[in-house]
Amino acid sequence: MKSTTDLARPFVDAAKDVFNSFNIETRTGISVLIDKQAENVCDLSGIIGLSGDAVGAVVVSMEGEVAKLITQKALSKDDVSKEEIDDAIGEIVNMIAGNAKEGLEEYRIVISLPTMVGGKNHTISWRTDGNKIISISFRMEGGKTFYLLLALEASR
Amino acid sequence: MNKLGEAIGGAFNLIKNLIVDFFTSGTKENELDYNKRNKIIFINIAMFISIFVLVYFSVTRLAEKEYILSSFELAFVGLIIFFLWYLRKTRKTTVTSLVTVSALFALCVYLIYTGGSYNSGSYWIFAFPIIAITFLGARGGIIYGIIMLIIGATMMYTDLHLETANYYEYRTNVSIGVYLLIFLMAITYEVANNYSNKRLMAVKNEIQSILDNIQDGVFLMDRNYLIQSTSCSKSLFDILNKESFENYTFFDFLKDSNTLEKTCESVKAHLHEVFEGNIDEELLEDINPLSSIGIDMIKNEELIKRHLNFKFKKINKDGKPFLLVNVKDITKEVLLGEKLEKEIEEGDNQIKYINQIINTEIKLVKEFITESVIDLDDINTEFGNNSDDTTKVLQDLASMAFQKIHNIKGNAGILGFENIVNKLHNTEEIVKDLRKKDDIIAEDFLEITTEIQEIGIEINKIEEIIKKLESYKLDEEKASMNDPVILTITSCIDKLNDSRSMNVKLNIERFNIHLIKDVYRKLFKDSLIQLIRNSFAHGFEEKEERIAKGKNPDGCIEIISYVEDEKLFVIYKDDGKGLNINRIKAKAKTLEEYKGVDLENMSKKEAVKLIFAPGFSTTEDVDKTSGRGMGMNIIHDYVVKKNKGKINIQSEDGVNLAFKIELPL
Repeated sequence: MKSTTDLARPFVDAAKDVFNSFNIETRTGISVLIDKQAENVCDLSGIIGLSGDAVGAVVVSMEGEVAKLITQKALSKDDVSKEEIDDAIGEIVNMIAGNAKEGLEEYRIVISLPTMVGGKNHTISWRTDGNKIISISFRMEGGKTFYLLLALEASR
Repeated sequence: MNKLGEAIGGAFNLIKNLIVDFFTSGTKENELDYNKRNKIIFINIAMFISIFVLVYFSVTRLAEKEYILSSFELAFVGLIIFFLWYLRKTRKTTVTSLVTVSALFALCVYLIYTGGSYNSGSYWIFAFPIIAITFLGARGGIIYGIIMLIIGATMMYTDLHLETANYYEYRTNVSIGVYLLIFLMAITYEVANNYSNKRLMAVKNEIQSILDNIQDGVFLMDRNYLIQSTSCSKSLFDILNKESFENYTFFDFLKDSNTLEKTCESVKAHLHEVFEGNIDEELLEDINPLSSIGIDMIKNEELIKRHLNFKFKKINKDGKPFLLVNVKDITKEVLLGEKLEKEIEEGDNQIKYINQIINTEIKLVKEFITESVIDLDDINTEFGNNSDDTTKVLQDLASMAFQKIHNIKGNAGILGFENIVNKLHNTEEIVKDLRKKDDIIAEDFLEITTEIQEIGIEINKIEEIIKKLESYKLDEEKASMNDPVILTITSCIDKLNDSRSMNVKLNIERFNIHLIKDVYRKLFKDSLIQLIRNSFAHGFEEKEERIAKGKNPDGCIEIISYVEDEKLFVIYKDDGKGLNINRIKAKAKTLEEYKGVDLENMSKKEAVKLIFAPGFSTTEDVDKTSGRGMGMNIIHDYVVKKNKGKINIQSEDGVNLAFKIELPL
């Protein structure tokens, strides 16, 4: 059985690659544990559930303005609508999960469709053991930050 | 060139398909019963030939200017075309067969009547019995054949034909003879064929019913791994979750089920070996990569996971190699096995933890948990607060984490939590490398964070076990309160309190009834009741007196038990007025046994022992209703003489009285 450590790394690598591919420079911060019940300080989260040999969820959380900025970069245009932002962030989290899945090739992992959640201080019900999840910050040029939240558990 | 070839191939295929479609009336291979489809093909062929022949006749008649006959034949062609359409539309073979045979019958009669060209028309009747029997079966064919024979013979032997048709007798005899011969052979063939068909059908039905009812999935696959959908068991559709296997290979299935590329490759190699048949079957089965495989499938729009067991056996069918495949759904068994394994592992882990916890002072374990949680939280907080990612800062952070983790590891080691020590050791190694790393970056801390998360989960587990252990302890205390000995003692005190309007309290916090062996239970029950009675009779003062003495107005009895040096100790204590030596001496004076004993000068220690003397019963002073006590002498005999124990009395005059009973375990 793989440990959470082995499972987490491909997701962080995938996140870096995905943002790089959109020409978004990021600096990865120190990962920390946060309480499962903690309210999310960001107001937009893209969520993807994992099932199969590894269960849990991958979430990309950010402020609305950061989401807008990322979408602008990804779509290479300034004028972006709310739908476009949701689509772009959903697609990004989908790409992260998809790329990470390839990095874990001996694992049979099924990823769900991305779901977007909005609103200040929303909470997410994490379905893994333990009472903490991993949070990794990504700082963009200009100091804006978004977070990759991971709740992972090997089920075999 | 290629394009031309393709076009020709395409055209060829199209024509082939059209011809097949025409002669089968558009029926598909598995759509109809094999026999019925054959019949349809047969009728189509017969009708097709009839159309050609009749058109030819019609044209010839036209040339001979026999317009009526010609149009009659053309009308017949129209009728046949109609029935071709009818057959295609309804697939009703009975009606079309009857029409075809009747048309042929009419044609034969007409040919006999006219004699045909060069008087050869009558030869056409030789074909009639074969066609009639094939189309209408034995029964209908025989009837029609006989009618044909009668009508044909009558027309040829008599003048019931055109004058141009010349039937001389010898030729007619031969014709009838040949007709009969063909007729009989057709009947024999049809009957024999029917019989063997019936047997074949019976066997086929049996096989079909086996395939329909067998719970395993069974199917054949050819050298190209194509699943043979015509001969698979019904449950296969359910097990593999497919509706059709047409043009579907085994590897299509594996791919659709989210099987890893690597697995597919090893399956391919394995199946190749099975086809080759060079390796011993048993050995092959041992290395079968599909003896248990987890697959994903979508059922009712939901992703489900199934575990399947495949078995392969090579067989030869019509000279070609096939694999007979048997597949079983073993999901339940596999899940149960996995669950069991997981539970055993978790159980082992828990037992280890429990063992360590009960062998350690629980307070220490609790302290360890609290301290570790604080340490881990500290590391996490420091990580979170950091916004500077220069090498120096990061190295310092790693050093801080190293120290704390090392500290927790030390404590876990002292308590013997090997599992946690091992985990912490891993973490320590990771951090150790990190703090020396010159090109350290913030991202490197991911491993520490995930390790800390796992350690947190382990520590949680210990915490849960402690909670459980403590709740058992509470349960045990509750259970002790229901022990008969304790119930008797409490009810005895309640009764005495009631009858004397007193409010004596019982303190058994330090009394563990489970320390008392079964053989001592009765002794203690009776002794304690005796001592309680004595306390009420001689010990407790009136409320006012107690208040005056500065004592708690309500009396108190405390019972304590403990084990020390392989001995059981039970202490009974009351806070009454204690033993009054003078009263004991006065009582002794009234007894026969102590006449002549110098009671006046007896030491306090000796005098106290007097209460154990036989006949020194104090029952006369106790309630008459509660005369069940053993008497102090009996307690003494039982403890000291019978069980080699000791009774020790301590009394502070006016303050308290305590009996300490000591018994070997």
